[in-house]
Amino acid sequence: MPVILAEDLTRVFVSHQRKPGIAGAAISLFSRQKKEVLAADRVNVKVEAGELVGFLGPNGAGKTTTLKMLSGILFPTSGRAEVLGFTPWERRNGFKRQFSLVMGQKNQLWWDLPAEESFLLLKELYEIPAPDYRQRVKTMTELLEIDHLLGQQVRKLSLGERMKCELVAALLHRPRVVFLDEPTIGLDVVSQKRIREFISMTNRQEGSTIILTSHYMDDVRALCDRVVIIDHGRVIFDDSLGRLVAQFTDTKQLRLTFHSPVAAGDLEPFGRVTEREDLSAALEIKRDEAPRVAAALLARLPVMDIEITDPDIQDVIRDIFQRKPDLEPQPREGP
Amino acid sequence: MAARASALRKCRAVFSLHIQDSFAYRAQGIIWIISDTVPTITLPLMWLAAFGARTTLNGFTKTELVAYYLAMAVCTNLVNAHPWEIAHDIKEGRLSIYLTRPFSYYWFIFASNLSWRLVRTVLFVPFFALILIIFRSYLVWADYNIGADFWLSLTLAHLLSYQIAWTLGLMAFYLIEVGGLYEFYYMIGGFLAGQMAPLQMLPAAVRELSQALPFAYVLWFPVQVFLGKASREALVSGLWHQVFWIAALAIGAHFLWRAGLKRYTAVGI
Repeated sequence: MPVILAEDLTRVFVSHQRKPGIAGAAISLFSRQKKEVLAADRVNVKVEAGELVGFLGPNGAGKTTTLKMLSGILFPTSGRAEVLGFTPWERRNGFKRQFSLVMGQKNQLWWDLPAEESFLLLKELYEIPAPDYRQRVKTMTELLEIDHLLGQQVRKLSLGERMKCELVAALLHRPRVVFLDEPTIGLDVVSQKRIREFISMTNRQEGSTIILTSHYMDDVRALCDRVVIIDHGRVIFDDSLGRLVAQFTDTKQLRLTFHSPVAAGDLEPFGRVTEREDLSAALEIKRDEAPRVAAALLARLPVMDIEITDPDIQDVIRDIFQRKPDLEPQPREGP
Repeated sequence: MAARASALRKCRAVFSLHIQDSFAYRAQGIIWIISDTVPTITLPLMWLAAFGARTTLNGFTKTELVAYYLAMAVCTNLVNAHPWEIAHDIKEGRLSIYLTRPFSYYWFIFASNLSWRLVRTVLFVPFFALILIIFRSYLVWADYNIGADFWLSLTLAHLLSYQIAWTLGLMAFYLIEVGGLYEFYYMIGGFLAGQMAPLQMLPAAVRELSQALPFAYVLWFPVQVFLGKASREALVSGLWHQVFWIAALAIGAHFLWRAGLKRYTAVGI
């Protein structure tokens, strides 16, 4: 049985529109234009125990809305979800004791008190036995190297330190399911890396099921075996990162090194030239034509070395997010 | 039984955390207390001037009138809950975090409000001493009632005030702008609760309106009990009114909360 299951999960937000200015305000008193936004559109996701899944998508795509529904914060307009066998928005204590939500842009700790005070409150709220609590705080804070900061007012911590404290707070009660919404946003590279290692370890050692959203490809590359891409509220891709490239691009990169200089005109018949110097060049060609083009190049030009690669994942995702018109999602085959 | 014990433990943890948190805002609290203290000094002075040559005014002696405002000030500190925090949590999406906790948001805010009321009362002590000095010539320890019936009326008043604040706070689910509503509540609610003047001093229609609504039972009623001005019947009727309004508001708020959560959009996060 999957730990997380969403079936046709849909949420419509209604906002009222009005024209700018005083006239617009006056008109809006009598008639308001309703605008419906489909924040999540029949989202179907199934996550098995122990998986670490990345939700990707541009701002406003519906990632966070989906996470909020799975956390029981938002009611769906329609559809069904089950997390650990519970319907999240019924918000049963049995459910809430087993999951955790971390939001990179939201502070869950008490701003004016030392982080440890927040931890102590959570200990009571989640009914964590004292020895377990002490051991848990010790291990996690040592790992994240924040054990010396627990007595400091949260407001005086740096963003990275605070985020680490947030993570400790969220994981104190050993949640079986963790939703991490942009946990590394705005952090420096060192903190990002440390937090990434920590998340990976939590997933591996405690077997927790994790859904992570992030804007940083490094997070996704380092952590997620599986990515779900959401755009305009819809899941447009759900598979491994490797498959992403195959599914969304029909091109390959050809990197060439030459014995002697080659003119641009000699290269252009073979494909789109993306880089060119006297003794090297890069071409973008159709995937299925790669063997034929490579053979022709070798036969006709003074090629010393040839390398055929996939486009960079970062570029692929950027293209998807920028909604290149020629990138239409292809139906996914098989389970 | 075990569930109740654990809920109490959780309440106590929230309470003690908020006691500490409140002290972080002591400067802010003192400013609010000063703005509450000023009318506690000026209003009785005004009435004392109005007495002229009379010894009683609408059934109040000078001593009783001063005692009314002093008791009002203490009760206000212990009782008066505000809907702002709840409204902010809803408007700014902070409610989301509470919704994920295995502890009800209602009791969270209840414990936090209780802790803030107590901190405010402690911070009020020096100001109260100042007020006592100012009015020392009017202070007589008469038969003021600090028996069980007074404490019961005060406890119910605290619960009632909290229930009003909770209900009003939930309006933030439905209204785009709640500021105006709360200003109105502070002004009219405070007036009808007898903060400006004892209800006896006001036109009969206003007093009846106040007693038809929950406001009279938030402050005016426990102060009446303290001053010994509530007859046996008035006491029983007042306590019943408190219980009735707490229950009625709780039922109303239950539906507001449930329907509100369906509308909740968890903005900002």
